[in-house]
Amino acid sequence: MGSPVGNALASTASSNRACVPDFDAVYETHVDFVWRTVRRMGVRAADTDDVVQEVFFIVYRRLAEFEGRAQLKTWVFKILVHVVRHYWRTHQRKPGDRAAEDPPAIQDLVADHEHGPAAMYERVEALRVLDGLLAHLDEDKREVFVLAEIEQMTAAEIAEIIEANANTVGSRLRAARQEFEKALLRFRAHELRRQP
Amino acid sequence: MNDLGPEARSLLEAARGAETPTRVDRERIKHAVALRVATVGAASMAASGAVAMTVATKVTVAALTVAVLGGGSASLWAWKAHTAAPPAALHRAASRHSASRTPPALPTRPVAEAPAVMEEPRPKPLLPEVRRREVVRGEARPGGTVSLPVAESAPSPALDSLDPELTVLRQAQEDLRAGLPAQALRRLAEYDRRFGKGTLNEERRAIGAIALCQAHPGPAAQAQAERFLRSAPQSPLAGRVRSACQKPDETAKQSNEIAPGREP
Repeated sequence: MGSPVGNALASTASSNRACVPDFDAVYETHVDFVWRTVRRMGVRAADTDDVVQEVFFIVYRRLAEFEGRAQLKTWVFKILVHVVRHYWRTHQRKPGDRAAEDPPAIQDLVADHEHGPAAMYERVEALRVLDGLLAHLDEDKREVFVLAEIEQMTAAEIAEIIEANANTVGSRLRAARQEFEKALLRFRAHELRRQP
Repeated sequence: MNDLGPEARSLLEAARGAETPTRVDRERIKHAVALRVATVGAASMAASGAVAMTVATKVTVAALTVAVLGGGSASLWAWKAHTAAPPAALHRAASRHSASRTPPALPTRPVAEAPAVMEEPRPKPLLPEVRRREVVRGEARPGGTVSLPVAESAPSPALDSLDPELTVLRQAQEDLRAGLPAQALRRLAEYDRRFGKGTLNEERRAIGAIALCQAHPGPAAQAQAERFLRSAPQSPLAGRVRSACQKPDETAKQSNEIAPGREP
């Protein structure tokens, strides 16, 4: 799991505790998934910069302490989860309040620039629907669901990140999947009723 | 575990790789991180290699340290003009500055097989535990003194809450600009009362020396400025302290040196 560069950094760190990973490399390697995950975790578009910045500020300050016991990506994710939880606590709007009113900006969908505007709009719509469905999950389930289904992390990795045991991760993921599917069914039914 | 249906899978697939930050976004956020690093006085960490960064990032951090306390880009340029330093000198200044802050007795990690990402031996930074305790002094902030390594501990809200310190120092700076050094000293007394030797203590001492030199010029002010310059000779704020606390005879001497070059 994780990008080759991130894994290389992590393995370098584990093979040589004296090695403190280079901040710039850590930033460049992880900023995309931190950004993406922050958005899927329910942080508003207007707050994304601040939250991503907070994650990397803590990464910067703690990087010298990274001893390679975990993968670098897992370590960064752990910080991310704590920052997002803090965001939820300090903002009146919870993930469930976000619904689908905060769609991604077109210019953020860089992955589809080469496929033309139609593909970009399809992605925008898909993300809008996805965020609307994720908004139905509570914080605990949403965390696990995003890490497992979007970032494709293993149960063991997620357990380490959220500081829970693997059984808890498994039960939350099962419940999250069921709720997600139900929300999708409701969404489609609603869409059908709206059609003339 | 229950699998998701094809439509759900399709939606999730669309989310992977989509909505990534643009190059401009990446640069903007990185710049913001450097700014925050500067506000906590961690330029020394970067310059001394506590965390490896590129030279460009170190320069940004060093420059921003001055810019933040100086109130923005205008004062940054004023500082650069004052020191008449070429851009490369900024990095040297940052490296020298680090020497004044790096605790001398801390053990360093072994560097026998130093890979490319390492630039020099790295002392363990003080910021995560020691400075955080200083920040929360006198304020009940649950979790603010967690000292476990990050792998086992949660980032605390206190870690990122330097705004109160920065606010007081900025107010003191504004008082100085408004010609109210006595008011600035009262603000600094408030800083001492609330934060003690806070994270921005070096910056507080620099502003204090300048304020005292403006409010009560004389031997006591000179002594305070000299104490600051002795303890932090390479601080980015040292130039300002020297400038504000110049002895009258030195000022006159400088005027005489400058005068011959002036146009009649």
